[in-house]
Amino acid sequence: MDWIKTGGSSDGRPISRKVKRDRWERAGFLAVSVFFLLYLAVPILATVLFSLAGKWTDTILPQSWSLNAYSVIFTSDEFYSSLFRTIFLCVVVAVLEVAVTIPAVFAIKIGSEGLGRLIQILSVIPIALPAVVLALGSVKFYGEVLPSLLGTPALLIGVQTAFGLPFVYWTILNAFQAIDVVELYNAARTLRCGALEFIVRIILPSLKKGIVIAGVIAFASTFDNFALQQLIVGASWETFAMYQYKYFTIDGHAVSALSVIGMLIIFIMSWVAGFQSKTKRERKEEDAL
Amino acid sequence: MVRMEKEQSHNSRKRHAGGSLSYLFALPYLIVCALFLVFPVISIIVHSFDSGLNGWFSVVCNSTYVRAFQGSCRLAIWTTAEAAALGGLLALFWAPKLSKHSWFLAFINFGAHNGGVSLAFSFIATLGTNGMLSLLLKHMGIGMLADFKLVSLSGLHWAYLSFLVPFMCLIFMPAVGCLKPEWFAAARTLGSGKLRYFWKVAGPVLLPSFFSSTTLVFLQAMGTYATAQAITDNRINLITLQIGYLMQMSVFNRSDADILSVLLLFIMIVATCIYDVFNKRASKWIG
Repeated sequence: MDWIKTGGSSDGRPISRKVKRDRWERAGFLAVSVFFLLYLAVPILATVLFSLAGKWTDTILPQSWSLNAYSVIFTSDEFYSSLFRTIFLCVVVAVLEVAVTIPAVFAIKIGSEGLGRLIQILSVIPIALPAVVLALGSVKFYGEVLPSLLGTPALLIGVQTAFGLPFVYWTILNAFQAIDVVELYNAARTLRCGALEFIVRIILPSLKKGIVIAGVIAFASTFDNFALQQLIVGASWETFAMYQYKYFTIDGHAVSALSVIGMLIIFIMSWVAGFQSKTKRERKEEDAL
Repeated sequence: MVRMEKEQSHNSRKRHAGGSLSYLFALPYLIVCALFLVFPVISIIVHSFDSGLNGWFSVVCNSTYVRAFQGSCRLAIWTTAEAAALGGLLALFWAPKLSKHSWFLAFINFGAHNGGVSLAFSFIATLGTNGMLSLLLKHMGIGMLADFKLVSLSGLHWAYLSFLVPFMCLIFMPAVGCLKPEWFAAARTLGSGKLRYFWKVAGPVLLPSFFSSTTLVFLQAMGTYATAQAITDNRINLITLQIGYLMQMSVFNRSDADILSVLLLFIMIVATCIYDVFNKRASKWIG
């Protein structure tokens, strides 16, 4: 029993070699992590510096600094129009996705397994479907069936809603795991509560956190889905991504300023999703640390 | 026997609970999928036969399109292999630490969603001819990036990695999180070291999840359009860029886009089936 008292290993090897090996292992993982974090951070830093640069040709840091790029952007009506259009698109898509997914998952829980299997297959289709292929298919199909819909934000909203459904579906499905829907629903029915009332008064309050996470994920994935926005509406309903792309060949500083704004929005959304996914206990523990 | 009875009881409760009402609640979801997923895909498949089999032969034998498929597959496989290795390692290291370091989850969440035009410009600002890193290395006398071209498959691969690695890490992490510490403790009491534990216990448990996550990364890499379009402006031959170009710019060969889309869809469906197989195996442990 000496190995327990001295903290040595059960296989008889000296503890110092194991500690050394663990340290090397930890150092290796830390090196990989630092490389990865730098890999993500350096392009962001380069973008921020470029957006604040007045003149920057062949020096390591900009030769002069300027907020001109931001003043050009923030004084442009087109910027605000494109941003509001994009926010409108993201909010509508997020609301639609959550609104159709919650009843569908409820239906899976109380309905037949066949329905569950069908919805699962449908939720996998967007994963196998590149955005460019879906855009082409939508334009072809509605070009024949309903040509008035072509190039309109309504078509973009519909296609984007369908395209983002898998992530919202999985998030809502995970959220449903925490509650025994069948038992609750049966109990509600004995108290003469209808299905719709059950969803509104029981399901929605129980899934608040899951709904917020799903909505945020839907928002973030819609915000910079350039492929669908370019190929379905293009310049006729200029979104933030299209406005940014327009400046690509015109003004690099303006593009970098727009990239910084876009990345900031995505980062805030990612942070909100991460924060919401933590339990209250985890948040308290982290605050204590 | 007890488990079967419990399942039957649960299923009978479900049938008693929902019945045909469940289809009514699933209707909006089914309508959205039908109108904006299923019908467009069927439309592409039907239109791909507009020129009959001759159209198919001309596309399949067109060297430009063949090179596009080769380029896309090469880039997707290359980036997938690297993203799977690095993302998997990061997930193994960080999964047990997330409760104390949730900032890492926010960071990789951001990285996985950060794509398109913003990412493209970030890489041009970093690795372009007058990019920050290119200038820094030039001033230090390191000629590593002297012959580097961002507008190339190798250049694109660095841009792809910046969202594929976080994506792999994000989707593989839940599987790593399901490894129970008791398994390692039990393995240690039986004299097993870390390597042996990973080879005999954790590895077989994590392998299906690893492969299903890798397949998802491949799907993402194969279908990427925005980042490639913004960086290369159609100067590199990739299949998604070809489809986008034929859709927007081409006057005479628009029908080729349907056939190329069906071929791309076929590759993606095969990968999705592989993902489904591994995902079912993984759910045995992950649940």
